[in-house]
Amino acid sequence: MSFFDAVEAAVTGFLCEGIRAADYRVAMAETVQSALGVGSNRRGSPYEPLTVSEVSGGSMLIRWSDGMVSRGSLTRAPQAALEDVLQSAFEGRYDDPDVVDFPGRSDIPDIDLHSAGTEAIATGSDARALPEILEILEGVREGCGAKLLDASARAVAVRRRVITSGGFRGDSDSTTMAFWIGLDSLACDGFESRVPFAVGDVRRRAERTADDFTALSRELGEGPRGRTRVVLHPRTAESFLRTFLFGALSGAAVANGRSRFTLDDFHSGRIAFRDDFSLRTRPFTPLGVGSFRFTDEGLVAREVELIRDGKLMTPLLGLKYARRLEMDATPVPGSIGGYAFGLGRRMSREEALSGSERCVLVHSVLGMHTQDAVRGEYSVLAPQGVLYEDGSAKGRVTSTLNGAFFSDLLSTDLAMVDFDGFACPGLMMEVELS
Amino acid sequence: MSDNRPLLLRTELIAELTERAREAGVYAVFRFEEQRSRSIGIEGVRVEAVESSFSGGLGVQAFTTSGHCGFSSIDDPETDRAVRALDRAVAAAKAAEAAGLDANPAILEIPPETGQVFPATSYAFSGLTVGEMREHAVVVAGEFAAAAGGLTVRTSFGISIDSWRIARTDGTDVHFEVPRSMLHALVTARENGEAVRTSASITGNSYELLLDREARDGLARRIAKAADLARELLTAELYLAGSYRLLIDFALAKGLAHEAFGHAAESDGLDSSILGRNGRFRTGERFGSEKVTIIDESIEGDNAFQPYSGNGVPRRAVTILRDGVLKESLADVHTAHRAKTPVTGASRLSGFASPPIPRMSNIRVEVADPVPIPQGKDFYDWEPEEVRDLLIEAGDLPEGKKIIFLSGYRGGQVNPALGDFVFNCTAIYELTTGDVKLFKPGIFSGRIEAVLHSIARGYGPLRLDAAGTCGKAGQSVPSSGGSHHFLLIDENPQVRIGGRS
Repeated sequence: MSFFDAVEAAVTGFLCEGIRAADYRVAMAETVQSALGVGSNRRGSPYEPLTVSEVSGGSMLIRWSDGMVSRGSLTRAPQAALEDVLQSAFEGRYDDPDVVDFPGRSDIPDIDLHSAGTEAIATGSDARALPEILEILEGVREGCGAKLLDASARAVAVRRRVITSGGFRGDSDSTTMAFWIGLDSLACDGFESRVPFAVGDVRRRAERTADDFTALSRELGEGPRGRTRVVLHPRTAESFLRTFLFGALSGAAVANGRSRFTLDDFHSGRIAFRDDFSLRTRPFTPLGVGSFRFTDEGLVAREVELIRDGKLMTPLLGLKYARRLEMDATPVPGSIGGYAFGLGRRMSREEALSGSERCVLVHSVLGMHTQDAVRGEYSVLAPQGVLYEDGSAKGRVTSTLNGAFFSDLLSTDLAMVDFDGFACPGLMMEVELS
Repeated sequence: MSDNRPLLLRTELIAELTERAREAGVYAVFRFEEQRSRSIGIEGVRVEAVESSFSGGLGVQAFTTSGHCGFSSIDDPETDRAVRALDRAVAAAKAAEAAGLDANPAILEIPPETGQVFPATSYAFSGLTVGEMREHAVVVAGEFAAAAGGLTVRTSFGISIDSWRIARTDGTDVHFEVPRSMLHALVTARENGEAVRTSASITGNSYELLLDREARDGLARRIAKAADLARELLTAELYLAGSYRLLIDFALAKGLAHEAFGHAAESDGLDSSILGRNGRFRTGERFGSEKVTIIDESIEGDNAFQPYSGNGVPRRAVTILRDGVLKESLADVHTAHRAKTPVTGASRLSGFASPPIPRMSNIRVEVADPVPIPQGKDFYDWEPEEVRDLLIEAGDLPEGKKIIFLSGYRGGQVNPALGDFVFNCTAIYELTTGDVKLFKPGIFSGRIEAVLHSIARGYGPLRLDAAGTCGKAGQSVPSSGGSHHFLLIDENPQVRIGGRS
């Protein structure tokens, strides 16, 4: 019996005090992964060895015949441990009137998420791909004059299954390939794909990182002070968006009064952003890194408008909070690549950096996780900014960025900036630097 | 009190794996882990989720005789699956050798170790059913909601017992458990579209956080203060960014030691760290005021306790900085030789599926000759006005001067290569002889080389229970530490707080 089947059988067969599972949802995943890293120029050191691993695990939600609810999670385990988790979950069952929806049979969109080539790398059948990527990155390091390379490459193959007592049954195979490059701890970038990276693609992306390294290597010291145009690199922009915007769109946060936005804001379609700002999910791109077929709750993928013309349309809602807020559930992508951001003012990286008399390209910030996500105000250190004057990179500056992100999203100064190879756009905005 | 110890049953499997590894001509480290955990989240007094979890597996790290390494992990490591993991690790190590990857034979030379550590706890993990845990937590959440005086409160409690058995083919066999628990309350104040969060938490190692009156009453008092602070912060202003004479509390001092110094002292990063030169730890060089000593020490019962390294080496206390001078690196067996410092057993375990890496446990800043404070007064009972009076009495806050008091730790981050660190606080107070003013929090940032030279004075005894979570290289482990109740940091242009311009 497979582990998936064992878990389902354990849930359906459990009986205690005359109580059994009346409804349930089980979401499981089997993952195989290969990885190899470089730490301080050492490839395959004991900290980043050549690795082949497999792990299975998942979660379960049960509504018992007495109306109470339990949750549990586990990795693949002997039958006794599985029964122990079920028994503990049963003992801890609680009343939750919002847990009543267990999706039924659905037509699952047929979206290609799987690459046989990536799976071969993940299982170790293709042992050359990961070293090849790292060899390219080592060559790029030598070419740009960086002293130290830190890098990693990995391939992952995942087999997922979600089943519910309502009749939903979803199986999905997906793959992900990723590499990361860091040069002298000054410039770093990470990239993901569902298919194996082409050699030329790896080199092109790494050379762009090397260009950033060259600019960051010229240390100028303190950066400009006062209100200054900045371009947030996609990695930095993503950290802002995740902390503040997606934090505020969380259905649990809205329902429990911990979001900047209230339920009324969504019902009334409050304009909280610039009127040309939009955000929707984008789950159907074939082999897109943010694409998916169904969620762990058994919600099939569909496009959802979260923000339209600056108006709040819906929070990100799982089944529980959708019921509590009396709104439709929203299938949520697992990565930023599953979202499409829209803004009237949009430009390329080159246009953004050359179109300003003076601006700072912020490659990374320190301290984002310490910010108060509800308030939206931020104060973060940016030790890896590059000062551009008339489109020319002058060198590395250090600044502290201070501001209020929700105000930034309303500002007419805001623009989205497309960076080659990144799903999330960069953001150009005026920020107080200190 | 203890629970069942299922990893005791792995002895035969370890023997079988050891024999198989020897036959393959490799040295291997076997890391068995089983973790059981329970958690509950309560909004106000409404239970939002109760969860029971189990995870367990085996990580195998194999080394060829030349020191080339391969790693594999697998869950549910019954014999066939464990053998599969070993075979994969062996194949990976031999492939690494064939490809000429990094060779690091240091582990082949260390002596074998045996031992067991099972910390005592007030209550066994299975001493309460999950249902009983839920009922107690609901009562506690009600007390916390009342303490918050009408503000939104989310109460969460988590308990886990993490069991490890680490064996090596040289006969090493160490077995230990790390029990942990945490009770946390998140308070949210809202007004006129503004919202502010504050929080309070305590850590322990069993259900004592729920069951012992003193622990929960202490946290309830802190929640009441956190609620008051959240209300006041709704209308507080940002402070003027700049460099000031600063006072930080023990939790922020833990953040300072952890972010500004501890990470830079880890032996795997000394090729790029500012505390390293050509991969060597800069032992003997001055990096701080002669009053300052920084020590990392794994303490039984603490949030960051881990008695053995991920390779089965006993973890010992490490004096990173003594009287301002660098002494020892946080070194594990793989990079201590390169760092030219002793092996201190510093690698932490974040899970069976990850190779261990050098990390801190409980890190503290000690300052010579601290100013004594009244005995018997709990740290959390100090009001900002009393802190101001303490500074005046100590002669550190004269008329016409000000000290900026950063209170409450909200996490931090560091780039050890560039020497930049940041951390954030819950609130800023401007202390003068005539007034105490509250301001919104601002990021505290600086240069590692600068800040330790500016530590001027400590106040009160050591308090080491500031707990958090440390992320590094995609791995996450519990961390903790502290210092004297308060630390005074002299004004330094390379140490700033963010705020308005």
